[in-house]
Amino acid sequence: MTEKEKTLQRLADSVLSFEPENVIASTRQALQEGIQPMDVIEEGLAKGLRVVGERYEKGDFFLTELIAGASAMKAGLDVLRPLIPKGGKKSAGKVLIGTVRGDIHDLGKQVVTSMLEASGFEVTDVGVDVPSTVFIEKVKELRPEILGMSVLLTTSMPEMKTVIQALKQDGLRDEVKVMVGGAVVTDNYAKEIGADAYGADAVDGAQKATRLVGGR
Amino acid sequence: MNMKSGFQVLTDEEVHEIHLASMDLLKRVGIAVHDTNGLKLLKRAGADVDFDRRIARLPPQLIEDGINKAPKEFILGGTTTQHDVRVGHGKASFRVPAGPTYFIDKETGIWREATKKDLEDSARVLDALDEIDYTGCMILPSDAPPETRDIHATELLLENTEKHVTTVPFTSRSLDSLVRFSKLLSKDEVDRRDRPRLSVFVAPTSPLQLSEEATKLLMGCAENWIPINMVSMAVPGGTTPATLAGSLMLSHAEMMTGILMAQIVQPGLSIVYGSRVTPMNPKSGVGTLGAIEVGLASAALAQIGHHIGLPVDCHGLNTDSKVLDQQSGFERSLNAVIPLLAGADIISGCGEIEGHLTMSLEQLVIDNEIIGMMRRVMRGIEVNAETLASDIIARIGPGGYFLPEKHTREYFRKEYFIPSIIERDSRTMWAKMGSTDIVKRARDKARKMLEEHQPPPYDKETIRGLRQVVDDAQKP
Repeated sequence: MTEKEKTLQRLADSVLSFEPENVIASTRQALQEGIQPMDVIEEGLAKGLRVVGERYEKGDFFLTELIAGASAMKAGLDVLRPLIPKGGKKSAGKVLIGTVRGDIHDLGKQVVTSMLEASGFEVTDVGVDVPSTVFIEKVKELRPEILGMSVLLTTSMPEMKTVIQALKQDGLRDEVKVMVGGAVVTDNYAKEIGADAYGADAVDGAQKATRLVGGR
Repeated sequence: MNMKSGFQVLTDEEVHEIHLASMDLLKRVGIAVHDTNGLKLLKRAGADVDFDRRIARLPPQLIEDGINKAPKEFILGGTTTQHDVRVGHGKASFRVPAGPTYFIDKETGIWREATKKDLEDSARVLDALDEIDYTGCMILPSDAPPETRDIHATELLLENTEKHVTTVPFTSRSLDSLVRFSKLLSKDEVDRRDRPRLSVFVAPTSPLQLSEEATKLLMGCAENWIPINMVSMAVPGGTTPATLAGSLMLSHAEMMTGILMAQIVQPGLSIVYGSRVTPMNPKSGVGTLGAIEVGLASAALAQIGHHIGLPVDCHGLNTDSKVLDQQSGFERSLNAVIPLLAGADIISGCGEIEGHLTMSLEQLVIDNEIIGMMRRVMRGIEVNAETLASDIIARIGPGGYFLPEKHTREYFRKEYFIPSIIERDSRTMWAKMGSTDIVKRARDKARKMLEEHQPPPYDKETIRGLRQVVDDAQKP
């Protein structure tokens, strides 16, 4: 194993320590040794998170480890992002996410946010109980590739349709992909209201988001 | 003669420690109330309120005084006194949960979205089942308009069962309809207070929040004497600490805030302590109602609720299974019997599978049977000269038998729970009866009930009145 390979392996392992401080230290170390930021991500951090993902799929890791791994990786990405040269791909895309009006449940959205961030997305969380007017305003302001809406209460489900209709009215529907999720949402419901994708869980959501923006 | 239940999962000291920790939390950290009128109410009562951050900090004495006003015993009314549910008098009641949106088709056994017809059928079967006392909003039908689905469902329930209904108002906009329902179905205002035909669920949101709608509903229902089943839904590791103790303590703080607010608005309002601990599957994050920790936590909740003098409603006859299999059978039985032994007043879950998402008539009929068995346990074993039967034993002596005795005829009926769909015969007899399993027998029984049972309808004027409420609710 070369020195570079050793450093990258340590980086991957640091993600599995679930400690952001370890990841930040290992990331800085790698940069000092002259490793390119993109390599630090692809061959170090992402490799670590892939292992976390694999062990999660196997049932060996729980959801809490998946989230902790994702947050640890994000700590490293935050160090690297300013160093990626102009024209280079700084992120997988921008995501605007929020829980729709009438619902103040936060948990699911938080989990999805950390998975999206670990997948390289820049996520703007507009919070809970978000009226359609705020979603529209923020879409206009931030021009995200994806708008994600979360809901837990059946009573607030129709609100997702309201937002999609508002996007159409403002001529924004083709500008942004719409993803929906939450315990009460189904694939059928997502199709019915004209969303582009439905995330069955956080991992599925992050994978579908990547596909929506043309990634793997 | 009733079994004296002494089963405790927490010592008295531990219950008190949890209670004190909750009070300390409310004093130190406070709770977010996302409604200005709610904050004003607490401020006037003596809470330390930060209107900008919408946080109320509650002095322990304020909480104690408020909670002490809640009644220990009350009635949830049915159409007749025979259908009334007496809550808090020491014997457990059993109810159907609120909220399923799917249904196991009673003809094909296929899982699909639930309809208004399914709700009517389920309510009628519930009405015919002896052991199940009342219902939550047992189905939210997909063919009713989404915005007023709660009102449609409530009306259908009121028309199709004589048993008490606890409904799930979607928003405070539903309040007016509920008050009209309750007035239509009560003789007068005294009757409406003493035997309310309708009650509601109100839920704080963990951690430490009361949403705007929950606050408005809570205050509106209290003003109008509609009893509240207060339900804080802890999700350990998500919205509350991963530990059961931490989850119980945090949701107890939320519960006490809601109870306090209701009692400030309407001292003496009937409130059920309906807090729930619903763990997630640590592997996937999906909520689980069949986990054994649900039963354990429910037993603890019974103790904590009783500590502050309120009747307790908890999870019980629940499963995560998607089908009516062994998993459904053992999860619901275990998780119901544990809080039952700990003295819970109301145990919910009847008829549900898939963690409250799906309603099944077959499961409803099976649950009726499980409850019969549990009630038999709670009746205990009667010991006296007659049940010891020394005289009869002496008379028959060594080598005789007891089958022809009058004592036997009498006590076969008194001593044993006689099930209707549980199969206990010889293989030959079982084969002769069609070699069926319990799900088939439950389905047959449900179908027969639907053919034969129809609760007596209200008079035409009342029905017109109830339906008018639904029509009015749909007007923009």
